[in-house]
Amino acid sequence: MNVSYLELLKLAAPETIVVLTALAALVVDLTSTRDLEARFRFIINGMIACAGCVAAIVWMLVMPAHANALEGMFVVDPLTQVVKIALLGLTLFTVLISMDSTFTEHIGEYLALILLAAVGMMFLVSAEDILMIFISLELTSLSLYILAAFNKRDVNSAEAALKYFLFGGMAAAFTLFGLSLLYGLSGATNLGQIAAALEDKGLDPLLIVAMVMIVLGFGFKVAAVPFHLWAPDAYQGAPTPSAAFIASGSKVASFFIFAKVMMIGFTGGETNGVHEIAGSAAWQQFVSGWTPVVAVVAVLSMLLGNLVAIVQSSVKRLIAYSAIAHAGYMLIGVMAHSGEAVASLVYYAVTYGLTTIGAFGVVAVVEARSKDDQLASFAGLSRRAPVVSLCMMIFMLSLAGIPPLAGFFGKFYVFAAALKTGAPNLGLLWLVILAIAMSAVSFYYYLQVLKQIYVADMPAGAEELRVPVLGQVVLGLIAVGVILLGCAPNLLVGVLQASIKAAGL
Amino acid sequence: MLAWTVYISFLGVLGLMLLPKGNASAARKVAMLSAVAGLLVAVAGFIQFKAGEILTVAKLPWVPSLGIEYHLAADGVSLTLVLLTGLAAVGGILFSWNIEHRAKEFFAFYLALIGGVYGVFLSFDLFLLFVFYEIAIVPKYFIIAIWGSTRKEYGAMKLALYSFVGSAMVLIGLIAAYVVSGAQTMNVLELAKHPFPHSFQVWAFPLVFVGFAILAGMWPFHTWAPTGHVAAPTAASMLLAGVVMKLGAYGCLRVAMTLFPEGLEAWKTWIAVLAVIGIVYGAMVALVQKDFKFVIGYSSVSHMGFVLLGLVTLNTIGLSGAVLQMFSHGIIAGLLFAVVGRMVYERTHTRELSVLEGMNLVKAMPFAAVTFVIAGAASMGLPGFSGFVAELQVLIGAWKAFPTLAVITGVGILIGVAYTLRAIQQAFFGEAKERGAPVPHDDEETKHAEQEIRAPITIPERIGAVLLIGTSLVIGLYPRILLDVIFPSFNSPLFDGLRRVGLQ
Amino acid sequence: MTLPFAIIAILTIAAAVAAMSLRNLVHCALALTLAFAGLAAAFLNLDAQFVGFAQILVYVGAVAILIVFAILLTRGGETPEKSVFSASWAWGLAVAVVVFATLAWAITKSAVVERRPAEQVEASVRQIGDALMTRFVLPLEVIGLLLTAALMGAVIIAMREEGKSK
Repeated sequence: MNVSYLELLKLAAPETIVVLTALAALVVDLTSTRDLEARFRFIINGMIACAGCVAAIVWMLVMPAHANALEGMFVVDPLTQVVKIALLGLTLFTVLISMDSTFTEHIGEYLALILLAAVGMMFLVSAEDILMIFISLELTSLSLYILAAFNKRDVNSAEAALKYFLFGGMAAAFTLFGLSLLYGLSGATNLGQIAAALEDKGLDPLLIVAMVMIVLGFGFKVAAVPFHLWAPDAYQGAPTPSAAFIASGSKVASFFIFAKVMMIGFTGGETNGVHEIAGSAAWQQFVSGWTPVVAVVAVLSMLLGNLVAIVQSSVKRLIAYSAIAHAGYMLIGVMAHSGEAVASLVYYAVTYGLTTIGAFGVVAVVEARSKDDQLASFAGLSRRAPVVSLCMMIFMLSLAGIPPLAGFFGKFYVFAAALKTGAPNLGLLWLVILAIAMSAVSFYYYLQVLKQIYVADMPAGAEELRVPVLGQVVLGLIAVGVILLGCAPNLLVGVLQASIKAAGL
Repeated sequence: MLAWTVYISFLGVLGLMLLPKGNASAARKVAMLSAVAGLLVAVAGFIQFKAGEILTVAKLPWVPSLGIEYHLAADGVSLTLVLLTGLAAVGGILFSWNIEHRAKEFFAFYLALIGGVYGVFLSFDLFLLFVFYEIAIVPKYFIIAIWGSTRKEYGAMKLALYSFVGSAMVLIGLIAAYVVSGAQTMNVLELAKHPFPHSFQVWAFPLVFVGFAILAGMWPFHTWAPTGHVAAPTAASMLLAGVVMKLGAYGCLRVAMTLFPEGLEAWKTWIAVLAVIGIVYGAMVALVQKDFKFVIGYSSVSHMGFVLLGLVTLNTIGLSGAVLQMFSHGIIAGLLFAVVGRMVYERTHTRELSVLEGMNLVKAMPFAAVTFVIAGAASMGLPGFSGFVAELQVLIGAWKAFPTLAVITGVGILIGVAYTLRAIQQAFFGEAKERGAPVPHDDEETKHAEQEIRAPITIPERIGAVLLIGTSLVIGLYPRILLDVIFPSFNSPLFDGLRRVGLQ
Repeated sequence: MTLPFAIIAILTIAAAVAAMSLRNLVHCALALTLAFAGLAAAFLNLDAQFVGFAQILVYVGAVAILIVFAILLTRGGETPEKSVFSASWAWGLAVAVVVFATLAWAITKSAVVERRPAEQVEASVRQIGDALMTRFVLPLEVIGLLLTAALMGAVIIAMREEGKSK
């Protein structure tokens, strides 16, 4: 087999650019900015990292490609390009919100690891081969474990990282086990070939085991119940920008590849309109397959995430539990497994990621001044930092699914796509009803945060918070993005639908 | 042009945000300017409107791949309510002229709420309608929780959660209808043509109807309304009773009934029964309230019962009565809340009827007393006021459809007279009894309180009162202004479905 | 099941159990080395010579030594007082038994067991090297990145932060 390395390099140019940027940040920090003040170091190296992300985005915009290299190991099509651009955007914002932080002196390493994690996500998005999927998943995870442990002055950070690492290692083992069973059953590593090999074999018991293990592994990555136990501790203990990245970028990439594995790898064997391997999670017409498994995980996530979030007093933990709930909503999109469902899922995940980064950004601002992230620390924030408060209002309302913000359209789109899959019997209606009911519950706890910010009185003697201009601008940009994507969803939806058509999902 | 009602409100919000901190008088002026501009646009739109048409205001593709459009339009029903919104918005600002605490934010939330309400009444795309509907929910919470009074955080949260649960039910119904129709459109004109399967309508109708009716204060989902009204600051009570409850009733008519006429056919008796229970129950509870504002709060539940009853009578008299009642109640309830919340409470700092009884307020504030007597007369449905025409039409409609229930409704009206008279009597014409009179133990303090009570009714208050009383009188004396617009709109294709199930 | 396979399997599992349950950390490390060796033997038994020898070189040779070094440098090999067994072990054991039973059931019920074993393919080191540089070049590169990240992480985590530690 002949491989043109040059061709491959061209296809993987965005990834290469990001890797080189990571190394550049590392080298620049080691050689020239070492002796500067931490803030300037962060700004200089952060700018390098941002420049790299922007360069990679520009490359993808200017050089659209459509190719399948190395038998599905690296697939570049409009859809993966869109997702990669979104991931780089999220990376960019993560870098920007971390510029104000003081938790580490290893700034070059920190930024390099963020970028390496981003590279892992980009490879993950492009992979249609289980070997490549596993390796890029590990690259992402490993970088994120280290990012979670970065605050070495805080024992909570170490605890967070250790929990994340142990659960993650376990989940990786399960994923690997599932994937190798899949390989054993089909004799192929390419998702398309796997689907073809499984086409006429029906639902083999080992296939069920493999499916369950893969769902379990991805369930960990997206923090779905019952694999969610790491999430609250990791979100709370990890440095805030790291938590933001774990909650946003990693989720987008994981959900995308989860949907792709399920849709490409586990289709086929259709009889009487029912996919034998997918099964059916329609009300009172359950057919065993992977969708009922995902349905159970989704239901548990929505219930537990929302109900436990109500009683949280730490804002980061609250966001963590709400993240679990959001994973539940997004799993409904995975379950719908149609082209439109993928579009809705990507829209949801991207806008959710953006909103979460923003929310963590606000938490970071407050945390830097009041030393903790308790709800009480947010009391009267609207009078101490009006711009930041307004941004937080937009993020919280978007997470709660209030129009015209992005979170609402995401929910609408996912639920509509899920119902369309079961039309005209509305098979997944029960899940949609549960999801909408639970989002009504979620409104309560998001409102609790806003109540502290807008309604509660300022603590005595509190002064105006001095928020750096850069921080305000970044948060404002994210907020504008959330509003814009909500008011004009077609900006993203139109592109997604076109690229899904082009990618032929 | 009508679209500008929405835009002006949101521009007002933007303008307020850009104002410097702590400048209450500028904030008031900006808010007043946008509210008046909105009202003028609404009036102009109303005058230009040709009865019977469906006026398309704006129609642009929004999310083409899902068939969602930015589609603003108006028929007679929505136009009436747009006009009401304009009046209530101006009235509310006039009666909150004295807000100093965080005035900028107050008016920003206020205008956002108004903008959302205008949007709901003008949306003919259901997705857009839902967007505006939710935009109207959120500011309510903050207005009540920050500027409210009695148990404000509880009242605000209860109201927000009830509204959100209602809108969640609506959302389920809307998405399901969107998918079942398979037409890739959310245009209400298109969906109204789609014959949804009977089995689907039978469950989707109550879901959407009740979802909206929660906000309209339908018994037994009304409990947010009295607590919310009582907790809210005056302007918010006026808006809540004046327009927000109408959002719910309007949604029932425009969405639930238009889309699922067969569902209405199946459930109408149940809904009529609930509506009548609401009328009688609301009136009876109002009769025994000790808090002045609670009396008005429960009277709202009772009056909104008329709206719901009128909607399900399925004849044009009942329907037009319902729409007219929405308008009329919006004006009158606004006025009542203004008297109780702004004129009385802000001066006496109490709403306990037994305490007010001892103050002999008719002497202290004659203007308030006169206003309240007029408003009370309008509220109990005295001829000459808008309430009379509206309730009469509803009753005639109900008589044709549900004779027994119409009789019970009559009882409700009688109780309505009773609680209104009782409130007037106790609040304004009570004789200073020995035990009720404040014991003068500190001269300085008493003098101060006395002074506050005798503080003259300000000019904005007077303008607001005259505006609202005038409107109610004009409509009461010459209801054709509105009826000529409302009646023909029932001939539009939107009501084809209802005609199939027997709309006369 | 052939006899050599049975012996190797029992040896590997026993060594793994010992690695988890022995008290002395150094003993644990040695037991782990034994388990690695057992795995290598299993690979060789399946005619996967390259993987087998790589396993011996990397794991039995390098990794095991590293672990022993790490133990000796950090804790000095003292034995903990308490037993490593606890009440939650019973639960763990129960879960493990259930999972094992499910897996065993799935394997015996699967159509895979009736499949003929694949034909013997001769895979020379040269072929493997070729494959790594052609078809599998991208995974190889990504693993390189992964190791870079791991290296940085190890340095960061192990490095003593001066002065400001709480």
